[in-house]
Amino acid sequence: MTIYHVLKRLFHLVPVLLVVSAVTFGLIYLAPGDPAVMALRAAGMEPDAEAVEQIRHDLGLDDPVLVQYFRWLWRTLHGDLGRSIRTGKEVSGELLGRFPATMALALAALAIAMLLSFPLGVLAAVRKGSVMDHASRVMSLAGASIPGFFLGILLIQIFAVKLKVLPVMGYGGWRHLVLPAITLGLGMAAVYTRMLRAGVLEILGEDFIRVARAKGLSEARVVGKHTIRNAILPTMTLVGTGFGYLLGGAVIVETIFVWPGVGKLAVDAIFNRDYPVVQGYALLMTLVFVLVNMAVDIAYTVVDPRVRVAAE
Amino acid sequence: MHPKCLMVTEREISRPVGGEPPGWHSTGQLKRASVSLARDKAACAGLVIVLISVIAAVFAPYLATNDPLAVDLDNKLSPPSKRYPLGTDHLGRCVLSRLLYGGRVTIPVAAATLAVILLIGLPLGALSGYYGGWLDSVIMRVVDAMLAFPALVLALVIAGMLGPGLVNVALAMVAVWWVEYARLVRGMVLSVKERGFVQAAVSCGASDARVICRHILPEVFPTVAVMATLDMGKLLLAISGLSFLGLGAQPPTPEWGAMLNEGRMYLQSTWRTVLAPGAAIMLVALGFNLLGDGIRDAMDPREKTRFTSMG
Repeated sequence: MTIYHVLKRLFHLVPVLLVVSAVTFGLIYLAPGDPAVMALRAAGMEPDAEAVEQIRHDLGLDDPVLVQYFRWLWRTLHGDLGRSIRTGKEVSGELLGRFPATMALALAALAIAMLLSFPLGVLAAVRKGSVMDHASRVMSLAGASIPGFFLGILLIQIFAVKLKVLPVMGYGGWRHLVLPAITLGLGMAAVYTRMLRAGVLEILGEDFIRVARAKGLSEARVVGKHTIRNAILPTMTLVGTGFGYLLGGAVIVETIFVWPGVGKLAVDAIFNRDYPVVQGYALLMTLVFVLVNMAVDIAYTVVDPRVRVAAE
Repeated sequence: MHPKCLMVTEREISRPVGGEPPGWHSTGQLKRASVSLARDKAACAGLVIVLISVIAAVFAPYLATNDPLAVDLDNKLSPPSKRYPLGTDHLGRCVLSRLLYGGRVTIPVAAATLAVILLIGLPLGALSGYYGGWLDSVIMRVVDAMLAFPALVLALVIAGMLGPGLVNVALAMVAVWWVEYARLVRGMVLSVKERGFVQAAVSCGASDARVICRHILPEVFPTVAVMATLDMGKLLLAISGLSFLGLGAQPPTPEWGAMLNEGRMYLQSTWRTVLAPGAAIMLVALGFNLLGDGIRDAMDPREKTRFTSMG
């Protein structure tokens, strides 16, 4: 993997991001009502025909859609996402101010998902049919079936209200992060545990494992060195798609725990019909998602020599 | 028509040779899958849960002890009693009755959403895989673009832009979810159409529609059925999640996610009003997950190939 390949990947992102931007721009047309009328109402003015005409012209709404799109794209590329209808502040500033909180939550959830699924998945496969295997199955079924909003409230009730070991909600040190991260990470852990189990089982059935065993390697070495690395790699590619799930789930978790992230901002904006903020949120999350996926792809190429050869 | 085909019917020649395909091609296979499904205790438990919740929803008017919308302010947040078997919520409405009626909202909305997703995803994927060419390029470009978005984020934003309401939430789910099926079906059609029995049907002069519907789709169907069953659970969670945020069902509709959100405000007094709808969603989702897992295990082609390679 050379700089050249990284640059090539980045270049391939251009058409994807163009389509993403077009869809995000188009989202505004889903909203019911005339944006000019809404802008006037938001400013506290009564929308009469003349004022609407004036504002349409001022906002450039009387231009062809394509012109509007490219104007919007040009501004967006310069980091100008417009101003919030409700607060009047720059959307980009509001989003970036809350972005670290969401990333901290998503990364902590990812860490928890990894830490849970890794040992559970591998043990379940190695000791197939054992108590461990059944326990991991029960846990992953429960994790896949429990809605995040229910789990979050249960955790608050148990650990914050009854046991009083962790704060109920809000933002602060790592103690505040524990319950939201578990709430968000458990669903992902459930999926990964099953995937890892299946992956390890598949590798254990391969010929090279039989060879490793036949030449007298200890079971610990067979599993530790020959199996795990091969089984984990395919699961790693799922981190990218899983991250999109975390960004979506973060909205609900942030709402329950009053976590000051972009998800909470977006939900508030939706109910205030603050469309520029909603649009900016969609754009930012998609950008993060696309970049994380690219990073995972590149990391995968670096770690797995087979893919590296195929890519070159 | 290929001359050789004149001697045999399309049905005979298109029967797969050398190991049966993983699809429900013959009734024998369907029977075998059902038998192994019936032996799977977890899958049976899932089926029972799903059936009970559907029956409870269908017969809610007969099972409910009270009107789910009837407000009784003298008895708000009351504990379980003879009149209110699961107690009442903050407006004195019967929690059990709302729970039963809630099943008539959440389950059918998820099922209808899934049906529309299949109606869009299956044909688009099949056409894309079967015909290829410009049609394939166009459909796959759209699919790629949709996959660039984090699905749940896009669904939230679409539902938010359209405004609160269950129909809008369902539309948002369809908009982001059909892509998965289109991609899955396309991939499977691409591989199935190269198989001998499909080639044979084509060379016998079967029409495209017949080849797709009679020969290719039966091969695709089992995998789609597994994915759809598991997606029912996911859709239930996603739809009630958006309702929990206030985007889906609007009060006073007894929808499980919305009920949970309302109950959340009165957690200090009682958490029965949160526990009941939360447990209901979890149970139904669990039912679909168990069932989906069971169906997959019952006809896992990988297990089957391993079996044949041993024999």
